[in-house]
Amino acid sequence: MTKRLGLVFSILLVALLSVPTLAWLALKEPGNKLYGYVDEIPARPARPAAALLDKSWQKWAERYYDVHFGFRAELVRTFNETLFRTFREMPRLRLYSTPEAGLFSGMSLQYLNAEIAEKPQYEQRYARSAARIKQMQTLLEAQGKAFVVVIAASKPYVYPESLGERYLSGGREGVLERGASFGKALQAAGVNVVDSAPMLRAFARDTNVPMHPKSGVHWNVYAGCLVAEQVLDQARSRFPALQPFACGIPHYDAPAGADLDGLNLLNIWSGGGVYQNTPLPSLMETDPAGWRPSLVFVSDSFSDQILGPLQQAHAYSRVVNSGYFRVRELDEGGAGLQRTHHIGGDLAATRKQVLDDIVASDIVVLQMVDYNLSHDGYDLPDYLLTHYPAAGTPPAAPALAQPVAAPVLNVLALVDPDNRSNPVLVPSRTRLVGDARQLLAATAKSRWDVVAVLQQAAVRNPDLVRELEKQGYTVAVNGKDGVLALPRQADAPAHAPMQWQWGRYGEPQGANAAIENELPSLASTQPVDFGFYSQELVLDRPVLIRASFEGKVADAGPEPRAAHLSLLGIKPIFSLPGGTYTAKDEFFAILPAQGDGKPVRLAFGLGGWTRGSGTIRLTSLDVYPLSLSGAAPQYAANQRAAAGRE
Amino acid sequence: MLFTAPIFLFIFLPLFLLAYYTLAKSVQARNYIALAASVLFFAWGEPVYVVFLIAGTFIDYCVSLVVAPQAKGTVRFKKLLLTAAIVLNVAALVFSKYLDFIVTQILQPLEHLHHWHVEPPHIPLLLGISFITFHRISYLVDSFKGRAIPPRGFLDCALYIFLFPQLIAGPIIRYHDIGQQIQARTHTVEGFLTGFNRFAFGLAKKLLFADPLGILADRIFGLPAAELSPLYAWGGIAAYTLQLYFDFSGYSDMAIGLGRMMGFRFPENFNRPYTALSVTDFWRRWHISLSSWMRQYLYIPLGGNRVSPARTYMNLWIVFVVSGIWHGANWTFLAWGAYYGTFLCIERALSNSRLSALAPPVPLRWLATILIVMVGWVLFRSPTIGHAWDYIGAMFGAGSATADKLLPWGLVFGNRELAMMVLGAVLACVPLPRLDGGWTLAFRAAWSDKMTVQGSAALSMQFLVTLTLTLVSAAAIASAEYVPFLYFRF
Repeated sequence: MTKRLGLVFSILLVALLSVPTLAWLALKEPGNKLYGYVDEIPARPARPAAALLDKSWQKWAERYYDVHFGFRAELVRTFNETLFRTFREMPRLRLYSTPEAGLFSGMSLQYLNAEIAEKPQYEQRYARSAARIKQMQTLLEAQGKAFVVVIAASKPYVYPESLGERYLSGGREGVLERGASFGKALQAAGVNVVDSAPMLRAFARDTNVPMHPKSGVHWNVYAGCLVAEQVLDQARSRFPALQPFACGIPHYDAPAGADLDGLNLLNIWSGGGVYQNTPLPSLMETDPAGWRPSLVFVSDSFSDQILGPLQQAHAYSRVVNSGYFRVRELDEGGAGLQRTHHIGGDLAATRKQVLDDIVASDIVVLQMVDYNLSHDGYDLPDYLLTHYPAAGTPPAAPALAQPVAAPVLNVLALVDPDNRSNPVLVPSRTRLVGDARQLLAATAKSRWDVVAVLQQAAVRNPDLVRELEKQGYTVAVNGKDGVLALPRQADAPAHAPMQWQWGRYGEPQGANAAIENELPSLASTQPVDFGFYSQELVLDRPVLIRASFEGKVADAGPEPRAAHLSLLGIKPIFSLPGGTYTAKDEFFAILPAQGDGKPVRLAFGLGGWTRGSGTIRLTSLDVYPLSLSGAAPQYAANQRAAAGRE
Repeated sequence: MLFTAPIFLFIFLPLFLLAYYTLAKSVQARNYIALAASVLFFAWGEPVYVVFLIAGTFIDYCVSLVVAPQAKGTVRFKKLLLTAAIVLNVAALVFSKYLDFIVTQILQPLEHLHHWHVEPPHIPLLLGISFITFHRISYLVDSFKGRAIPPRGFLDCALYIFLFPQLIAGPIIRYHDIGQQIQARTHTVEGFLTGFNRFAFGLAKKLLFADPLGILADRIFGLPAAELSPLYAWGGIAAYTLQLYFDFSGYSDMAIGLGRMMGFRFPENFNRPYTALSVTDFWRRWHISLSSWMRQYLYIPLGGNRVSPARTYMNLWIVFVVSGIWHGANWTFLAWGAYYGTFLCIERALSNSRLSALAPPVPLRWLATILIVMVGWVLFRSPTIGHAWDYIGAMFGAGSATADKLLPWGLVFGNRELAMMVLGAVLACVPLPRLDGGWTLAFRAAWSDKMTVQGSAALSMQFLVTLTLTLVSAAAIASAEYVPFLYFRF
């Protein structure tokens, strides 16, 4: 019995060892691919006999088999899953993780530590590099181009607090001040720079919007979009006609692309505890009739997240992206980048072509992530300073377009995380800021169609309203749930209180309806869906709707709405769930232009596509037509400046 | 071909086992298959040198016939022939392994004396040359001494030299340990399964402990030694200490296991050396086959301890210097051998003196021993004597490390590496309790004298352990970049 059992076990073990080979012979092509494995197999030797003697055939055979044996991917994923779940890092892949920020690249961590450990050497190197880049900037600006350096921030520079002594030389205390800073060196040299690390760090801290996915080591698209905002803002001083670009309120969706690069590199079965939804910008397309610049990026992989939103918003007429100044990708029709010059191709020809692109461009961006800073701008400064064609007459900046009645408001917003679905923001091109200081800095710099502070009064800066008024804004709403300020402009239509006329819809038994001081009032003990509709209104531009209610209502389903103020037959503007309302509670929303110029009506009632009961009275209702400042937040100011020059 | 290479594990080994057990029934027929597979195994890595090794082995075989006690001829002639054959083998070793060292480290620095300019020939180190040379010397000497049953023919002799489990990294099996088994051995399923079990343990030791610890050790030894903090320096050498043990003892386990799968019983090569309480004790437990070989074929021929005390110390010291340089062509290995020779002489002198009665408590003896061993490994691991000196200085606080200049510890010590270090240290250094009971045989059998297991329950448990270790090791092989065995370079 024991012998027979032993024989079975022996056969099983030998069979087990044979399985990878049998699977390889049977399958040939492995099904479950591994991500990021560079399976370099040497070329199969042409002369096997000679190759056997010089061992090259053996090397080829071993390598070939290493890559192709059966169930390799399954074994790798299972082993890596166990390791990562147990130890939360993969030093062999140079991937580390913290509970707060997820995966970190060892390359970034090492660079941050090197900037600290060798600060004097790095500062010297940065100063030299900055001086060279300044020369390049001078050259490009003399040719009428805007030039911006973007220092992309990898995760350790944005989330250093999650690293601690474990991953930071000398601990996390003042870690970013203790190291050399290329951003400061560039600023000192007078280079236009978007030093994204401090900006993103502050933004992430103030808004709780993540700037890097836990599952990746690049920044996310929203962070890239914020950087794109800054790039265009810097370029706007040269090109006032640049159309507004704002990332809006982030919405969250499944991570994709570079968001998952770290997780993919782990080659595990699960999400590894780092898979989570990622913030995406809410972008509005630019006006097709407006001016769009031609861009050239010389960059690394972090530029994908900048270029994506710019493409989505149709913010450029043409873009060339040169990765590491070694390849060239082109997008002319807005359909996405197509590679035209590849790695391994003729480098001189690629660089010459990119130089031609720069000559023909409006805005040049040199983007480097922190750990690529030592690459001296991928040789771009030296190359341009040597090869740029003799200076000609710089082209004039494009003329300002006439103001267009853009259907999109440019909104500057400071928003609590739980208030981001507020109807004020939905139809708008919204630029999000992290705190009141940033908000006031932005209002001082540009004019906005609406400035929205959607914070509870308890956390709001008490001086904010006064400061906004000082800066020329009219505070239209200053309620418990937020502040809405509109630019005080000469061309803004004077606001006159509306004269309301109401008609009744639905007449259920046992319900009472009345008009008091031009505003309707309703009461019903039974759940009903009835109320009043207003006279016809033409909403051919965005409007601010402000209302208050009084009463006590209960919802009866199917939706949790007991009463409502709506666009009749279209959609609710304010949904009032069951509860008690007083006239002090002010509701506000911004409605985009409605009905393509056709009139619409407002409706007020119990229920509303559902049923509600109780007593409710409309105590105030105002509709402010909003004056659009034009195509750009600072359009009016620019226009005045242009007129002054004329 | 490494034992951890997929091509060995998933193609060579199952095909060999299939052929070994299904195509042949007699021991002699199985020897033919084993020899063919072993030559193929060696030729895979040394397709040209294999011819010379076969030719050299044939010469050794012919010499062994002439120098054997029962052969005709004078003792003087036999000794002369034996010496010539040994010199030939040692010359091949020197030619392959030490010529560059001799030229660059000895001849070139002394060029102003001999006025003879030579360039290093850059001869590649032949696979397993150090082990093969020792095997061949063992065969010649044992034949001369008549210690073992003479081979029935050249194929028996060739199988001893080429037997693939022990061919390139030991254990160093003396001919008289195995000559008898080549001619007659038994094959049982219990022995096969126990051998497989030992092989799986070896795989796991190498892949789960030695490799991650090796990455840590390489990382720390790659940093400037003088700038290390004591923590990093001790961490690095602790990792290397454990890596070396799990790597080499893992390889020995695999070799012993493979041998057992083929019906052989190889001698043990390790006996928990990091539990040793003295340097002498350590060398009784570490690379036992090398120590035995050195004692048998060098120490005793030099006179051993049957000469004057001063000469005995000198013999001891010479043996360890030779042992050191055998490990590699570098001053560091020489220094390492001399270092141990010195400590062994000191211990011998102390044990022969009145001070032997004042033995310190066990923990202190263990601590002193492991400290000496770890410092010794610094010499062994360092690329130069200067590096070793700086490193040892850093271990004892003489490094120039400052908090801001050091790599943060999280980038140096990975969680897995730390876990393996703690677990490895417990397994290697703490005396483990002896488990009794039927099922524990599943774990103990592979290290028992008979290397076999009895009873269905123990067999099943052993199978499950083997299966688990093999699967985990296969996954580790697939996931890892392959790290060669440390002792392949020696």
